[in-house]
Amino acid sequence: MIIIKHLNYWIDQQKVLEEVSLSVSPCSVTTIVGPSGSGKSSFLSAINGLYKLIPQTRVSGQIFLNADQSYNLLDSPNHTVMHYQTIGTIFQQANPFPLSIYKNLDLPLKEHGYPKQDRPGIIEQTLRDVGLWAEVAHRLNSSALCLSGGQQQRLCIARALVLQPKILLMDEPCSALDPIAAFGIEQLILKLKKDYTLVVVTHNLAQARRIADYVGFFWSHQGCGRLIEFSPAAQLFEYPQHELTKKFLNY
Amino acid sequence: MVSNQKRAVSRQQDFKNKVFTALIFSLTGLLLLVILWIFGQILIRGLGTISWEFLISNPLNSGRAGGIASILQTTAWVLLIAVTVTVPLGLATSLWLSEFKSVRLGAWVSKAIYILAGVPSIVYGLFGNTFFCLYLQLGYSILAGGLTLAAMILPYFIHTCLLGFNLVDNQWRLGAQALGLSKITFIVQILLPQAAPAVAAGLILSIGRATAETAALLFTSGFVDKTPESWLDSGRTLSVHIYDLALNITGGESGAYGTALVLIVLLFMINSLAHQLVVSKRNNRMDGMNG
Amino acid sequence: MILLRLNISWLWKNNRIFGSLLFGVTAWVCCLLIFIVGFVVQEAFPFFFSDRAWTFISTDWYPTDGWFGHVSMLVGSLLVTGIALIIAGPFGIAVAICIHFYLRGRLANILEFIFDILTGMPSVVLGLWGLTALVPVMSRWSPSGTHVLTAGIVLALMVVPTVIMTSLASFRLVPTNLRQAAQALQLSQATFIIRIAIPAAKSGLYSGIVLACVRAFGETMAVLMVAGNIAKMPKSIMDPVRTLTSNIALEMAYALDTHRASLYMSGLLLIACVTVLVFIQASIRTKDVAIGQ
Repeated sequence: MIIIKHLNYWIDQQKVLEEVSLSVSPCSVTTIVGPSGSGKSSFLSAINGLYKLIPQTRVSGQIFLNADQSYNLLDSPNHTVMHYQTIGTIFQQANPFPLSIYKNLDLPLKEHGYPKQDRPGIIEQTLRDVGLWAEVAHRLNSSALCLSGGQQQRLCIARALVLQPKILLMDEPCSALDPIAAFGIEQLILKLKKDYTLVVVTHNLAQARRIADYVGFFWSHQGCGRLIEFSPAAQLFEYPQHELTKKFLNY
Repeated sequence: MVSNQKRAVSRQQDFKNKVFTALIFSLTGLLLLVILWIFGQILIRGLGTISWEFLISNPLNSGRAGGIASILQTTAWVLLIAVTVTVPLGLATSLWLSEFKSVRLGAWVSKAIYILAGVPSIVYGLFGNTFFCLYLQLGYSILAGGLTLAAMILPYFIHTCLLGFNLVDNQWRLGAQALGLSKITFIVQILLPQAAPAVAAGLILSIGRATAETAALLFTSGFVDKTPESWLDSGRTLSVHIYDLALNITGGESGAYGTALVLIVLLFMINSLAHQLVVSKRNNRMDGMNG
Repeated sequence: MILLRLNISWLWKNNRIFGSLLFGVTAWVCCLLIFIVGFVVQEAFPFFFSDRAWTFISTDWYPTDGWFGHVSMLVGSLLVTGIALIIAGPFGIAVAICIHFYLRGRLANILEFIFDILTGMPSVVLGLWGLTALVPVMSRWSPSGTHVLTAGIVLALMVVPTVIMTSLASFRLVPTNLRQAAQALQLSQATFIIRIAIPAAKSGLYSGIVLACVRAFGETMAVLMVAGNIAKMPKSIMDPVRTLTSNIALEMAYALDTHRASLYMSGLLLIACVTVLVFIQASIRTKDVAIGQ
């Protein structure tokens, strides 16, 4: 689970997220929706720590990964490196490394000290979990860049899963894919939610309706994003509380 | 009436077009002729001097006779020293600039490197003479010469490495960070293999520059035309030999042209290797995009 | 799991250690590079503080008599560089136009290959050719053949490959749909190149010329061999001249004390000129970015 309190995010002195507070329930799919520029991607980058790679950003607030709220992620000095095991990230543009399919998955395992004899087993299981095993088992040593867009994105999901995180953050994972590939990823998301906590940013409302258990709606006002409404999916789509949400859903 | 005007105008356009095309082609042709003249001269005057003997025997009579064996050796040694120093320092610096720097510092360093890459080689010769030959008491030596060349090609090499690293997709950096991969892993497994052709091309071009260099070596490695026995011995490289024969030695012309021919062939091989790497990288990236 | 926990802290330190190591080397390299300029400055001090320092701005160079006037040599450098650019500019851009717009396939590739290789031409070899082949030709029109014009021509040949390659790169950045639009409008090739392509590639072309300028200005050997090397103000382009760079090369061997320090002063002047040129080139580039290319 993720508990976020009073998250504020500045880029270059300009505030892009204002006082975001929400709780992500374990083993569920929380979708973050909203128009472009409402701070959805920034929100994810605050959770996984990649905001530190963007120059001149500042974040304040609290992010807790357990119910007892004992340890604020934002206090940790090198938070991505220390929490790669808990949080996995999938990006909008599939970015498999320019290595073989096998090596894409083996590299993180090797780096983090998984014993040699265990690795092939973990890799095979993970590829099965994302539904790629049948398609790539015979060509594990070929370049990952030769896969189709949908397959590359699945590979990136597998690459994140291989480290057995508890949380998966996905930034518009299907926006660069054709509808059939996107559907495949959505099915995968629904399958994964049994064991993982997923936060999926999407600008596709139809997709949100299909996959979400909870929905957070962001809106940007004068360049600064805010969380307008956060509730279980059925409730938000059927009975939106806020004016802005109603307007947005009617588009 | 209107159509007549139109025809007149288009004839005028046509004429302008033809004149321009003729101009372009004649300028190109003229330049090519001059280049032909230059290489023709070198070939004609140099070919007679070249032989197997020329390459394996030492110069006699201040270079009016004999060969260039000792000079080839000196050149090789000086280049070896220069490359051995440049590659690790240059790679380390460009890696830091690319993967670790803070934005502000990086801009200043890049500008400084750009300026240093443009500083005339004679100024490097001045620096080398004072620092390596006098302060460090290396005297006129191939070590001093090699180190001076290293200082000279370092900015250029760093610049080409940075260009190569910049071309590597930033998405991979983000992905690697998200997986908790250490920077060394990212650099060794992903960055360097991808940037390797650019780095190699840059290195080869730097070597080419160093090989063609004269001014920086005049006062650092000196003029002695014997084979150097140790790093502290003085020696002359191919370009210094050509300079000496052309300006200081009467009757040295044929020796100069022979050496010039050897130097040009050497540089041709070095530069076409670099050209190949750049062109094949350009083609490879296209394939990657389609695949 | 414990093994993995230990790995985490080691990794965390790893990035830091590795980063610091690289920074150490970088800092050292930067120091070295600052060193170079610093050294030149330091060695120039004796001249700067000597009582002959004011002669720097005079035109007479008689080091044995205490006259260290750099002006004639600065003018020499500027003249020779100027002539080189006047020749290399049009020729270089013309050849780039020829390769990119008029030639196809293998011929274009061969020419590009030739000029790419020629950028690495050693200056001594060009100087050798200049001395033995061009000077005799030029001496038909002047008492000796070694003067400003000869040096300018040799220098032009030295930098023209640079102009060609940078211009070629700039023309390649001009979007191909512009050419298609021009063809659809029945514009002639010449009109397209003169009125559309060249303006579009303008900043890249300027940038290339500035780069050539930097190279030409800093060139020593080729000029040394053909310029005549008399340290006086040239009265015409057929007069012999000495450039700042050749001066250093010629006198370094036997210069002492103040004389030697004055040569370092020349070196500083060269560095200053190159810095100015680099800043000019940087400002051309930023204008480029501002236009949004």
